[in-house]
Amino acid sequence: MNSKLQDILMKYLMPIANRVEQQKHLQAIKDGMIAVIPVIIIGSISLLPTAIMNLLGSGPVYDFLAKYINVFTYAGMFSNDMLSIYAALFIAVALAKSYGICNNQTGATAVLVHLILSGVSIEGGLSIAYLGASGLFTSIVSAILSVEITRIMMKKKLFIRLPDSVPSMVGESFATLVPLIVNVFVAVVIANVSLALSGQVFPAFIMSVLAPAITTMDTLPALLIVIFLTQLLWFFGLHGPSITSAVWASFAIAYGAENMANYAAGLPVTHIFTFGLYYNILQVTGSGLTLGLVLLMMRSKAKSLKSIGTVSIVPSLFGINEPVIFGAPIILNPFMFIPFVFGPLVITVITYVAMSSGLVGMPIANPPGFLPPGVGAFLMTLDWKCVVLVFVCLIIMTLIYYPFFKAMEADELKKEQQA
Amino acid sequence: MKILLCCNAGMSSSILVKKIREAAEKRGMDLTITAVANAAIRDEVGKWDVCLVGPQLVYAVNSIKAQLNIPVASVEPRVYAMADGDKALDFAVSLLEG
Repeated sequence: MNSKLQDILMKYLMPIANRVEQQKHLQAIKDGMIAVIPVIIIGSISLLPTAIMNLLGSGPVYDFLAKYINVFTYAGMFSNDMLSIYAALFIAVALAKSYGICNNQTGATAVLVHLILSGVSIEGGLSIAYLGASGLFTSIVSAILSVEITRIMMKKKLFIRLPDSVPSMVGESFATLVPLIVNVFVAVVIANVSLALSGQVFPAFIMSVLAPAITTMDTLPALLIVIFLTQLLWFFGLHGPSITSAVWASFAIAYGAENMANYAAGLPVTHIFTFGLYYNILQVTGSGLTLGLVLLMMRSKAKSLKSIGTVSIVPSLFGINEPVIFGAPIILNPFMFIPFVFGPLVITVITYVAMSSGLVGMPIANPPGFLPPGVGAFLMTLDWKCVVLVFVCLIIMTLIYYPFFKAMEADELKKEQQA
Repeated sequence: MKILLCCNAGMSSSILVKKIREAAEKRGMDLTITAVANAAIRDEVGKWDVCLVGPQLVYAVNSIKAQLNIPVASVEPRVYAMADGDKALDFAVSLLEG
């Protein structure tokens, strides 16, 4: 079984995983989007007073918060509402680093290009309507465009060359100036062509092009595909989310940011598939929701399972389950294939139905990662029912693991007796 | 000896960091070791002698090797799971000695 499965792994999955890993743009988008999470957490914190007001409804604390709400939520305007600026910067830096051309101009160039593409000039100022969640996909374009223009110009040596007698620092400042001018020129052209031809600002154009993908990713079938592929990759020992998030990270971040913006504005929250949902419910205690399995292993009569269960429990509580995945092992283990790969699909259906039916609140904030089960779910929704949902999911997964665990344990005990 | 550990978020490999450090102390070895996320690997060029990768990132070994230009290999799954500092350290030493 093992060697045959490993052959399949080598033949099909490794090259795919390898190709995704080496695709510089996808990696830069993923890394940049993940790098922006701390800024989203700041946005989430500044949302808390609004959320507390909504929970209370009235009273002295409510009145106090209401009086100073603009102060409490001040940071939100500059974090969540301008998220795409930070995303453009982080994606550009990640991409430039992978090309080995990152310098202190990289981030600034990308931000400048992004502002030209996304800032909407209005009477007496600038509208930030497209600098938040709805500008996130444009930030991908801004970052890649600015880094690629710069890279091509450097490669073709299209910069001003000064005589050798000029000090090198002077030469360098000129060398970065020309790509910057070209970047700005291209951005201004794109922004104005978009206005002239489609009558829309560039981010609105991007959003209308991506509209089908944006609607599709936040559906149950899309979530099921994401979770299935993630679990399958893990089953073969490859880091599932690290590979699949190259595709879904941008969407999940954009959905989360839009939910937060809507919540802050008192509008209905509509998206289910956010980063917080993924790590705090769908993969709580690690991919495959393995907490119950770890507890079963800790109580096992088989020595090897017991020892892995013991070393796995604490990391599991913080969402790190590599010890149990590689130790049990779950990878390439015929007993674990069905519960590990298909169990999380059941959890996904339950979670999706619970949220879309309104039984459990949708994500309104993005909590920090690596929190114990239930804590992140509460911070994300401020709904106690969501905490119940997490524990229901963990119990259901334990029941799904149980018969397969028993079979694995019997097999392990037999091996231990023979030894 | 300078060992870099790498996994997806630098979290699971940080468990092993502590154990390898303990193993090195017992042997009286002079060791510098840290864990980083795969996304941050580009900032580590030229700082390390050898890089151990979590088995879940085995597919990234080649790309990490291309960036760091030092011996890079993924840790054996069982060693990683049990955070066996002694065996991981032996492995790192054997990689370096080629």
